[in-house]
Amino acid sequence: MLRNYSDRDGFIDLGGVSRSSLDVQSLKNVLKDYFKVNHPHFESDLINECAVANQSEVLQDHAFIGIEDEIAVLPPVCGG
Amino acid sequence: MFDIQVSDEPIHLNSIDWESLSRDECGAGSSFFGMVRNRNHGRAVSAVAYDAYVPLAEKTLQDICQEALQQFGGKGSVFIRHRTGKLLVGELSVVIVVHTPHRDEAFKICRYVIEELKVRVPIWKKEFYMDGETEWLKGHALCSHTQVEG
Repeated sequence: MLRNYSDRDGFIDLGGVSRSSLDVQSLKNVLKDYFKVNHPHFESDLINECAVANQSEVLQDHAFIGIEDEIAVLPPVCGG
Repeated sequence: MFDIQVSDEPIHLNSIDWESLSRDECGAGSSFFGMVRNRNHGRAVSAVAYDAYVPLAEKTLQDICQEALQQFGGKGSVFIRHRTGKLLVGELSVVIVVHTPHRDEAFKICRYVIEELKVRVPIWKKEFYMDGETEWLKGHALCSHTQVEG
């Protein structure tokens, strides 16, 4: 569903955000601000329901995101 | 011990090498098949599209299988295939095959894997309805592991 707001490869360019000191909760706040400005019809509070993960685990809110990390924003899941 | 794949490759039961999944020490097998059904919440469904964050989905399934074996006996094998892409009504979306020494743990592991898959694995489902509308289904938030939809 977030693919509707990303480029063809699934990436969202957040502009000049410094990731060296960004934790997960801060990233969610940045994303909420991004959607409010760039996609006002998007319910940005949905970001609160999303998890942030790298390729091997879901990250806790206080976890820091490394400068080289590729991260994913994961909406609530429903496989099966 | 675990053979896990999340991909857009169609799942056909007759293409699974069932004999190779079993092991000599296993006297029981249990399986679960999930497929696209034609109605959900009263709406006529024509298809379902699955999307996944594949690296983490496969890793999480590995973790779930490991937990299940530790919890229910410690021995056995688990085979999982989960589809991505657009599936029509009747197509298989997920197959889980469990082999264990005895039947009790085979049933329990199979049940555990599918229940945990639904709430922990980063896979998403978009339904296509006969009236032309589409909708991403609500699910379980991974950040708090709570259910969003009843």
